[in-house]
Amino acid sequence: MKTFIQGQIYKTYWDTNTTVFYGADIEIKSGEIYIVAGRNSVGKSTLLRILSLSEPGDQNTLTFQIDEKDISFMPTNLNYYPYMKISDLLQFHQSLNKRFNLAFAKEKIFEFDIRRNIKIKNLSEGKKKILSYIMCLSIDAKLYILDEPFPYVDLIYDENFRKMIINLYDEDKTFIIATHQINEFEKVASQCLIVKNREIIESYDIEKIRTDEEISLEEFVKERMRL
Amino acid sequence: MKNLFILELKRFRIILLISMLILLTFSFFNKNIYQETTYQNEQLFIEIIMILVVSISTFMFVSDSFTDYQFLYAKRTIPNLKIFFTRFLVIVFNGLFIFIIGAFFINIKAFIFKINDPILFLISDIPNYAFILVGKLWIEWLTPVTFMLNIFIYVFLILMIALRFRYFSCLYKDQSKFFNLVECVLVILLTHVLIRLTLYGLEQLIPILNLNNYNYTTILKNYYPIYMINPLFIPSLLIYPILLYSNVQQIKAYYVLLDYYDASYNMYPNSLTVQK
Repeated sequence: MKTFIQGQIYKTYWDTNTTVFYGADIEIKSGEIYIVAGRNSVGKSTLLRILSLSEPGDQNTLTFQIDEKDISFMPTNLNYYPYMKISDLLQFHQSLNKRFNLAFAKEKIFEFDIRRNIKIKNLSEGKKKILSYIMCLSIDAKLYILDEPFPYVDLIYDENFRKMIINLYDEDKTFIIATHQINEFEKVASQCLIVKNREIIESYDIEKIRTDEEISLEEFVKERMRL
Repeated sequence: MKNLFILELKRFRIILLISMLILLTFSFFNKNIYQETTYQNEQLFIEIIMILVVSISTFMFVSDSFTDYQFLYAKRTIPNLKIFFTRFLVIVFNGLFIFIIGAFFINIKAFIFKINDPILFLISDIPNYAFILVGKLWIEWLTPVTFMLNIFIYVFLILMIALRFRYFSCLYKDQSKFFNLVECVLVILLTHVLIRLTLYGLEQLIPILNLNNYNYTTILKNYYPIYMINPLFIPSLLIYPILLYSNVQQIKAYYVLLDYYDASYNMYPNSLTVQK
């Protein structure tokens, strides 16, 4: 099993003198599906942005053994110009990223009942989330980082989301998913990262939790977060 | 890149349409084609509209780097230089579009005037106006080209300073934003001045090089000295791609691709204050 990312994270927003991470250890291996949990405002999104190389950490203490082009990142909100239709967004991503799989994106958009000639700003929040999710998974990458993919998405689509991940998954690919809905992903995830504070990111094997602790993952995460 | 250019251009459809309608309306009401002031006013109006459209386009692209629109470019495999030039070309297109539409209206009027009263047209000062191509020698057509070129040099500089400020100067985290901005402006402009002085010095040493010749100086001097006020010397245009390239390389080297979420700085109650 290859290690994609390893090291310590330091991140301070100097505008406000706010330290989000200070020497927190992290290790991301290939072939795993990680759930990232933690309390609100603890720095989950910052962590994902740093891991996706979308935002720089403060010190070069993180070692990336993965090319930036092999990372696909889904930010919290879908971003688009106000005039954009879904077809425009597809073209936009295709022009920007050579690894964007247009056929896959079109197929999934059809599967999720999204009309391509509709303006994105007129879509519901749920559909925007789905679109953002499809855009992220349509890039041929080794590391997929998803920030809160589930809010606003109904239970059926939720199920399809998980199926998409399972279908895409292989030993070379890794998924990191930040979510508060632990139960939804418990069945597919293999590792759990709990961001406790600026110095500690705990890492647990989900299978071990199930066998050793005899409680659900959600209960376990809640307990760890309370501590 | 072609797709990207069109998709970026689509953002300005409404602005271009409104500007075109304004130009058309002004040209329609400014209809006394035998009066010199008609041409003076119309030329000034075209210049104002063009500079306005170019400024809006530049502002939109610069502000994109500070708003959520930067996410759109978050994961890309195409080089940063391509994105820079796509944006620059969109601004050039917008400026040229307004210029062509405006010049078309004003030249139609001049053409009708010339056909109806060629003598009066020739003795008037109208053929000397920058945007009027009717009655000009072909070499004099360089006048509007110089005007456009000067504007686009400024656009290029503004985009470059914004790029440097956004992605490179944020590395100096302990400095204020004002200091960073001043530093960016100084670095870019002083490089320009340095190049200009070098060229001037070289010309003094070897006059045959003729490095500081504008080629169409005489035409401009005689008719429109205002266009001679060009602090950004055209031959030193060559330095801009080099400056841009070096900036982009620096950005790449420091992994500062997109420092988004500056706005989220106040969202961390668990964090501590840094002691300097």
